[in-house]
Amino acid sequence: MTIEMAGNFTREMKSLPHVLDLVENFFAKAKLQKDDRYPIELAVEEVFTNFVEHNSSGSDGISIRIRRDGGLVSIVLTDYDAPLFDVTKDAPQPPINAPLADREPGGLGLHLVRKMMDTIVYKHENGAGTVLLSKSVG
Amino acid sequence: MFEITEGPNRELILAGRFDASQAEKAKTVFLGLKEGKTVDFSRLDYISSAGLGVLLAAQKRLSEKGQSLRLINVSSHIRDVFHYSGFDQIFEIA
Repeated sequence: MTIEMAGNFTREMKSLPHVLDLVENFFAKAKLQKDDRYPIELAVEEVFTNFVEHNSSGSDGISIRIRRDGGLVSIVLTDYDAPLFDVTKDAPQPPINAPLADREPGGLGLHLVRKMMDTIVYKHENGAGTVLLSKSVG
Repeated sequence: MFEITEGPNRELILAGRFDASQAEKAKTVFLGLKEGKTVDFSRLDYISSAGLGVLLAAQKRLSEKGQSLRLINVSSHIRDVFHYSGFDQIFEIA
């Protein structure tokens, strides 16, 4: 059984509730278990906000496609006006073992995505950046 | 939906989804704290890195006064997020 949903969003933080509505609707339609939902929701939010924050003055929108094929959920997020920024290696590793005095807010989003997804692939072609994520589900 | 309310023992109760769209609202509460607080996560469904950033900023600010946030009733998913972030080393999680 394959379930797929997709949406196009404007490049602004105000779009985030609409992005998460798409994800919630997908969860219901794809009958995802509660335990499988958190990492997927988090990954979509973190990649979307990363796209917005790294190019807030960009002109084109951001698309999201999310799909369940049996025990695998795959997500494709595409920023149609993206500078080259490889989310798999360009984001610095946050100092997670540093004491409180040496920690600063920020820099955790993509780290969490890398921790919580099974695979993450980045592509940059014709000015568009695409992040492909996958996660096994029960 | 995301709400921050004060409980009967002056603890802060978080409810709903603490995502990037709610971070500014939460900042006004957390960065306005004058003293350490217990924060009850029992009704919190979700937190993303934006929410973690607000908690970290508050913890740093309070630590300058020798105070801190103490987190209670944290779900297993949110505990995982705290662990991956190293926050289990800088917050007391009861």
